[in-house]
Amino acid sequence: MTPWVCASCYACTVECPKRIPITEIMHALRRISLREKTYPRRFTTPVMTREFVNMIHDHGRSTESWISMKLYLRTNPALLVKNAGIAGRLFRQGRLGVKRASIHGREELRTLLEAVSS
Amino acid sequence: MSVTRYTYYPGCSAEGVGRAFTESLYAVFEHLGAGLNELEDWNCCGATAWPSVDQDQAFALAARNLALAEDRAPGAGPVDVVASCAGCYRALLKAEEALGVPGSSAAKLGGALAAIGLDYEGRARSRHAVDIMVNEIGLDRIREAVVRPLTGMKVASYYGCQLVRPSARFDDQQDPTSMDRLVEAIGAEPVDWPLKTRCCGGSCYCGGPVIGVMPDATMQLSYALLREAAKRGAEVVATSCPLCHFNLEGFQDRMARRFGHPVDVPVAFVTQLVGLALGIDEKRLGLHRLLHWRLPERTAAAERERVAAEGGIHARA
Repeated sequence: MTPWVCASCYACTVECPKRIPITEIMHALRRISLREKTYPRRFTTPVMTREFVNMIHDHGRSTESWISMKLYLRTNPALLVKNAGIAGRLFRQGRLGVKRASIHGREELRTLLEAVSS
Repeated sequence: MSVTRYTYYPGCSAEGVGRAFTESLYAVFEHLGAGLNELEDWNCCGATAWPSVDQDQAFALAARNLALAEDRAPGAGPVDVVASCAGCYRALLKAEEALGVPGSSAAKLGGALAAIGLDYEGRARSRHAVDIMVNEIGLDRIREAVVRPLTGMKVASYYGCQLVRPSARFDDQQDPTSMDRLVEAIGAEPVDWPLKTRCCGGSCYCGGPVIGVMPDATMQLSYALLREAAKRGAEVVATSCPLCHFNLEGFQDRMARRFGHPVDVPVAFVTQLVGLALGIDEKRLGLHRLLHWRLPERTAAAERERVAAEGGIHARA
């Protein structure tokens, strides 16, 4: 569980007198738990991580409104109601786009990601 | 004065929930004779989510942006890729560092870039907007351009985490001062605040701050920051990251309910404050997009006096 509550603020990394890259270790532990499917299934961070990565893989950019909706639906749909007020305010102030952002080089991006993993 | 043009990497949040950062940045840079060209077809930097799935892919995502920036800036000189979001800045910087160390990781990244017809020559550098304002444009130039000093405004500068961690390229890691010096240059009063680099929990909302991935933990972190800033007399908190900004601004009502203490501190992007002092129209600075904005009374009064002293027929109400 611990690696999934890390905020990646790097405070530990820069404080460590032995220069142990603790944040990177947290990320590595996340990778292992995803690979071995030992991550907490309905906990927000791993769900969010997967949704985020899928969205970037398909579109190249993240759209805050879409990713929020997906997260709520997969973890706690009650948040759709709870956060409707703030979402509405942000929308009225032009800070929450509903149109999904996408780049032109989507194919290129997928080629790049495959090439670096092979 | 020749116009130095920079490549701008907005990132997903400074185009969305933090778009006032992008708006005010463009306005301020233009006013100071520094141009910004948005990097065409930029992609997500990978944030902190992608390294949690695949580190090499995360580097590759950021590396594409650096290579694209070089591709669009022919010549031999360095290409400054300016990020507004501290998270994007860190992700691009990490990729730059990975590409700069000869070894298997850099070779793999080079190969992957070649597969899409790109090449990283080492010219593109990740820079943050605050770094450019303080160290390239310079505080003297900003000071000279101030027409409406923010007299008496007490500002707590919030650097957040990833601006100076893990690498501190342009400021002190434990006690950064860039933003405080910027605040001073525009006539406001920097507030001494020991929590200026303590985490707000913003990156727990990675990629979409509205969602509240871990609302309980993050709210405690941001509440402590705001309370301490208010206790030290801050009337405005200045931020330089869209995630920090939203996290500190967006949940003040909920914090008040949860902790039983009123929380009402305007949180603005540091570029919005600079823009105000330069006399740029508030709308162009995106001030109307903030949830809590107000000019502190002392600053407004000083402004009225100054205008009256100038015999201003344009006196503001």
